Amino acid sequence: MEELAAQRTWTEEERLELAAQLDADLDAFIDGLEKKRYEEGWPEDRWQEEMDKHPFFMKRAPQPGDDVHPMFEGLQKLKYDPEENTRDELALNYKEDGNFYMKHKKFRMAIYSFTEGIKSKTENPDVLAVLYNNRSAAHFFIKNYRSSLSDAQRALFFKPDYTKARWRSAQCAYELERFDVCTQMCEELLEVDVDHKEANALLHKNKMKKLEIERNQRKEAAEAKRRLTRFHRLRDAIEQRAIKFDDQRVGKKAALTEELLQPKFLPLEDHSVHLDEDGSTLVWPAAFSYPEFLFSDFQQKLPETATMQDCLATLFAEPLPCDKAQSYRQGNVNVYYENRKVGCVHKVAVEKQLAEIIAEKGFFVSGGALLFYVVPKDSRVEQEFIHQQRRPMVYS
Amino acid sequence: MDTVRELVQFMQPNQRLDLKAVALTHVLGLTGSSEGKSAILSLDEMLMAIFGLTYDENQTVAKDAVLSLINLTAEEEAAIKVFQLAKQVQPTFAIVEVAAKHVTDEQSDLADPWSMVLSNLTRVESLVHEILGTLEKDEQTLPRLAKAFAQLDYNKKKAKLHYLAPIFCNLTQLCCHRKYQLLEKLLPFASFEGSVVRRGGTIGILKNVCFDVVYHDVILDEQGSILVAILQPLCGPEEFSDEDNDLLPIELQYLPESKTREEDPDLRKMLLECLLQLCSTRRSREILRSKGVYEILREYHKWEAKVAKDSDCLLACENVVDILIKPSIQANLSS
Repeated sequence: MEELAAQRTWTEEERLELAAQLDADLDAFIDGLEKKRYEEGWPEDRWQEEMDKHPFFMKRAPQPGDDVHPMFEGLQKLKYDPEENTRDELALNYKEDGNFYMKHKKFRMAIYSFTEGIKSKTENPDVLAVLYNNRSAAHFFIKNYRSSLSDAQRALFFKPDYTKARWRSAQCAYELERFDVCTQMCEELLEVDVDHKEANALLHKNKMKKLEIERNQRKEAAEAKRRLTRFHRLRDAIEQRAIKFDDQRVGKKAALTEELLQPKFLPLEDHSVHLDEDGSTLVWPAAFSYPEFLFSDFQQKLPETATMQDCLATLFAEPLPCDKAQSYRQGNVNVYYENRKVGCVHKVAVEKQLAEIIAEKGFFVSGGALLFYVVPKDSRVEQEFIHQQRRPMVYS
Repeated sequence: MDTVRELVQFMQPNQRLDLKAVALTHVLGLTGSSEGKSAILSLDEMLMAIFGLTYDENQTVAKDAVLSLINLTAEEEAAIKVFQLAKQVQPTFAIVEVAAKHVTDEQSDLADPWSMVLSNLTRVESLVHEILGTLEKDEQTLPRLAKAFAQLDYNKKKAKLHYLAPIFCNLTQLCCHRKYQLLEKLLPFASFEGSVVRRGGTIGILKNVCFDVVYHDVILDEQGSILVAILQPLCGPEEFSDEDNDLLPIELQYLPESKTREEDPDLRKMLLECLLQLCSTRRSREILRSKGVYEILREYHKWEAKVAKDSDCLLACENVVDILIKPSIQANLSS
């Protein structure tokens, strides 16, 4: 070739000859190469499948579990490999991913991406500020207000004049009812831009909510105090009368609790013993049990000043439906109460006031209420009732 | 007199530190007595020397110089003299600007003393207008002063800046700058337990504001935070019924047992005078009634009569209550 190149002028013929020579050389070279079939191409019948797998032509992203095309893996490596990218580039790549997910409302994926970006340990404060701010936005949309606030504050740490992050902090603080933080953020926003309408509105809304919550707390406290005073007065009244309770532990000076005074009978549930408006008379819930019929009448509010006579009058104002023989009438019945500790019954003197009956040695308040048994006078029912086997209560 | 003149030469900026310090200490002592003050005030060069030393690098010297100025400006005539001289000297001693600069400087050790000087100066009616003009030259100054006042830990060198309250109070005597954004920030301090100066100044501001009828609409608006600031120190721990509580502004509902009233009778009287001013139109009276002011004053009167027993306050309270409980009998006030 050198001799040819040395020649200065070429004739047309010589050029054509050279061209043909070069062609022939190339053909010879190619023929000299090992003959192999091209096998890496896509088989004709499956070309569409292959297209779908190719990273450049795929129509949907690979889902977890899919086989991944080696080229795809290669691209991934390029994008995410710490050795291929500087920390900044890596961080920005993740940031782009995150933003992409945000646009498509895949907030958890966005959080993941931004987190990876933060983990890249870039030292650039602007990049970090954006990553934290954007992650804060993602958290905000899925209502993770605490995480959102924390990220927004970090963003402010890296970029103190980051208005978006400050505004988001204010909103999160409001949702979290951290009123002072919200106020501070809003005021900082207004220092920079006096006309920030949303900040003004939020400042106001925040203040109103804070005042309301504070007032509700005070109201609660006042009511709790009232309840407590009422209970103490009730407790004092009961202790003064030395009233005995079935469920109270004997011997120790057991404290009177609200639990002890809570009626166990369903119809009496909401009517536990209390002081009347004057604060002088106890008002009791009571159960009147009919052993003959195995059912009970309930009286929700009996003043201790009422006599048993009065109670019977009320009970039998109208005859009991199950009382076919009409034997349950005011003058025709006897009233008893049980002394469970000893295992016997005591007859009630019906002229007595409830207060006096309760004060009797063998009377115990049972299940937060007064419990009486009513039987017709001189009846078999009465005899059976009196002689029924009762065992004294075992002390715990 | 001659001693004073002799001291001047030792109070020049380029003098030895120990000489300056001793001379200044002596001067400071002189400002404690009225003869001493007159002696100093009659000698312009001495005043100029003091002005100069407020710039001294040595903090003790500078502080003593400012403390001297506090004493020198305590009385009206003296304050005027100091102020005028500061303007006349060459170069001008921009006393107001310097004071404002120190008060708004988070790192200044001299913020409190300078605030007291400014407080003294603004108390003089003939000077207030001019001082305000100077402060308003830079539109950032007043907002920054407000921030310094409202943010309790503003000054990092532990200055309390309580005297900003009387400064604002004096400034609000002029009607042109009752700016409400400023006021909102200052309101909580009407109940500030830590300093009677702060409280007193704030309540003074409230009183000045109430004296101008034009502002009653703003004071008695929806928000009502100014009204709350006036009422809060007068409210006590007594329980109101649920219906009465509902009338009151939300901040004053269900106050706890621990709530105490304003302990200084002069301040209580000022608050009652605010309320009296607010009663001047029929509309305002109706608003006050609808917010439970009568109920609050009823309990307050009981407490004042039984516990605090200040007759001026009782009278002031009765004046307001009398007007409030007479709905249809119109007093000879404008409707």
